[in-house]
Amino acid sequence: MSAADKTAAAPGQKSFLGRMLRSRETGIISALAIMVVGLSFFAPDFASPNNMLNDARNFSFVGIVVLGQAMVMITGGIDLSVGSVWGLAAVSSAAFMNLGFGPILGCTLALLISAAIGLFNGLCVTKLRMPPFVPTLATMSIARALALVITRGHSIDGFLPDDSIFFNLGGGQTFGLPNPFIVFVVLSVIAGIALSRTVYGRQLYAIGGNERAARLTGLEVDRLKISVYVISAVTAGIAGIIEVSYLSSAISNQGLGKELSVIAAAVIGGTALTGGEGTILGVFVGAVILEVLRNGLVLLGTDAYWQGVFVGSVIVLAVFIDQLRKGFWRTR
Amino acid sequence: MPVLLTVEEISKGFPGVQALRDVTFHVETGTIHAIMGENGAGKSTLMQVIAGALKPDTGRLIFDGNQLQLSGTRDAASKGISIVFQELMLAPNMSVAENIFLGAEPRVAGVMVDRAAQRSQARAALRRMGIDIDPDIRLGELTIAQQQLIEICKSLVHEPRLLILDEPTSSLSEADSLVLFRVVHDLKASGVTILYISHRMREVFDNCDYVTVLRDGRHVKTTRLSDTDPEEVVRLMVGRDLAGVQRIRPMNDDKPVMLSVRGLSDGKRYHDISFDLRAGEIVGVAGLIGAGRSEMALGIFGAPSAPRGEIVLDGKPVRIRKPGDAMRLGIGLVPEDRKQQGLVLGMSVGSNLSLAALSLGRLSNGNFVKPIAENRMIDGYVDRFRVKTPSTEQLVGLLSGGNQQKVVLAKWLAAKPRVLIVDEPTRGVDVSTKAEIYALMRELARDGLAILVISSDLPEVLTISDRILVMRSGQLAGEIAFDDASEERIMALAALDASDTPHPAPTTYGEAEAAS
Repeated sequence: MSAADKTAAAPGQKSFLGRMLRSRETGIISALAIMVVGLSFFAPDFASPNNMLNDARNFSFVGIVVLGQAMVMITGGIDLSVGSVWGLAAVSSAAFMNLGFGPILGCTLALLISAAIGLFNGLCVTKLRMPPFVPTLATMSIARALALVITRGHSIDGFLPDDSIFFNLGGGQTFGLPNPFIVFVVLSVIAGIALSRTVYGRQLYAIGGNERAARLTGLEVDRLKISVYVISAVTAGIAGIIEVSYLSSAISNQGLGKELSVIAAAVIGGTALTGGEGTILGVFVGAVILEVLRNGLVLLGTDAYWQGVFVGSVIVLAVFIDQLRKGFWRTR
Repeated sequence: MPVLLTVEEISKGFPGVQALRDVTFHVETGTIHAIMGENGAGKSTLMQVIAGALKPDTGRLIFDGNQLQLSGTRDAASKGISIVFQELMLAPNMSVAENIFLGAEPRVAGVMVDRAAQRSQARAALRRMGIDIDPDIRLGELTIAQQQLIEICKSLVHEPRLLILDEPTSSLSEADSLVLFRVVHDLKASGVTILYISHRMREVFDNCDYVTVLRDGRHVKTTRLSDTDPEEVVRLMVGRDLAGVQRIRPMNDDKPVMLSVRGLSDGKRYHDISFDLRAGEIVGVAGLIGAGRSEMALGIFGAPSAPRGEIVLDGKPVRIRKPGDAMRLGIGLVPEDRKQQGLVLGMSVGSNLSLAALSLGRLSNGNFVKPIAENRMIDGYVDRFRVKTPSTEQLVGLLSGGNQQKVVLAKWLAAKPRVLIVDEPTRGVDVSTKAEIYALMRELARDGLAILVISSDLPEVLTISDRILVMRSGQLAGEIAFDDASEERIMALAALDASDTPHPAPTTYGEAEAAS
């Protein structure tokens, strides 16, 4: 990190190496690399193809949701409802299929329900001027309760014949890679391009950086903010549906507490809670780090009860390093 | 006359910048001593060194005969040096009395705040400054000018012998500044020495005794103001003569009316505003802070739109409900506060510059930004406006005030407006950049842009405007043609009561000595 700092202190440096060292992602990517190398050495099982593919599937669920969360956070908001929306989408898709709607219609309806919750969050934040914490905290409770109402506490299974193609979505592989991972990568590329190459993305950063200035520059701030809450809810819904496909059953507490993992991954990935900062590459790596850490601790035989301590420490450490980097910029 | 403070060969460097180099000068007891220099000349750094907020790399400070070793601003305050920063550092949600004694509350039994004592001491402190403000009122309900006075009052709690004021009038109108100067002169009469940073030349010449000029971190000259003149001070500040800041008589050909405002009113802050703005014309809007000028401008721009009134653009009546509508019609607004309203400080110079053009759908193909076209546009404006930045990737928050202002202007010009409203074009901007901005606006007007300039800086309004509209408490108080324009006329219209109040006469040095 210190090398990156030195480079950052030299103004106007444009070399590729300089830029790479200065970029915020370099720190976490090297942290991930160190973790991977260290784990492969100390826990040989880690590097086995089976374990790697398993990890890739596991981080994809949280990872997909982080994409939407990152967009919300870039505008200066936060979405606490993602874990519950994940659960609601999971049980409602299963319930629709149970009613004989078929996978496509069932999943579409589940995603529409998710989008409606996102729309509600967005409207509360913009039209009613609520701080994002409030409506998303409310929908976190509401969506979880609705999931319970649907399932009445039982699991929904046997909603499709075992050989249905739907189960391929979460459980199958393409080109030797788990399908959820492929979905995650594809969505990441789309989100990455949207944030870095489109006017839409530029406007999201502007809103998070200075909403008043964005408004006075003619940006449709309300519409843009509503859109990110909808996107966030839909990504949560996608994760829920893929998980149903993977588990071939749905229970009401799917996605329970996942909002914390999602926000943690976004923060580790360099997304600022104050808005205006964050990249898809960063949050992608953030989601991977979170899973590698969890998996690594298990493989190293760490007491499972201690896991949360490590995850918490990594969050603080990641943000601390980021502050150091920015501190250097400020005094320059 | 006894010397209160000696600054001796002070140097201070930051990574990449040498802010101060061997600065040496004396400050005499009981004087108002102005510190002048362009943005980036090292004024603020020097003041922070004197106030203990920064440690100098080399050199020493001798205060009242003793060498100072300051560990922080609190230490400096206990030794008799207080500073009032440019940005207000007050809590708007707390009462005036609570703000004045923030961190120095009178206590009962060591832990409880003695509210009664706090209130009565605050009342006494306010009375001593001759300000009539209720100490129980919430600070947020006061005007900026009153808050500024509270900030000074707060710094007086430690009974300083040296008070540093860092651009206290930059957000005040002329009339409000007069109140501030009355307080400053009272302080001087009671023996307080004042170090005064300002960009306003007239203010300094009307009120200060000495001036120290800094340039590029070096001390250029310390002199009595009676031994110099504004032209010399400007020359010392910029190191050369400034051209092109004279008034230029408008060409009186009949240009078409571009913007016509009729009966614009929001029912609260501005009422029944009607005026015409012609293509190629620069019209100034003068008035006191709080006269409703900025609100009126925002009303035209749709942020929020005026509930009553009519706007006619290029002969066609238009409806503007939000800034996006105004922009599509070719109206731009450079807002009053570049940090809060104009820029996204955490984004690069380039991204700020292209933001307005991008949201109009220029520079993009569908929703995809065209990077080559965008960069060409950005480089073009950075060159043309001579924005001093190491690269267009630099965060705009790291630029100096003048360069930030250029970026905001460029951002709006990139949107290719037909009408540009500029609110306070040069607040907190140094002299040479000011001249550049004036020249730019003239050039744009020559190209046919209709420009409405809101400014609280009287010399600025006079210099730049072809004619001047004056607002008073939400209404248009009058219009002054180019040939009739003078500061007196403007003030007479802007503040009927305060029309002819001159700045307080500078006290003679003999009196100052007697007071100390």
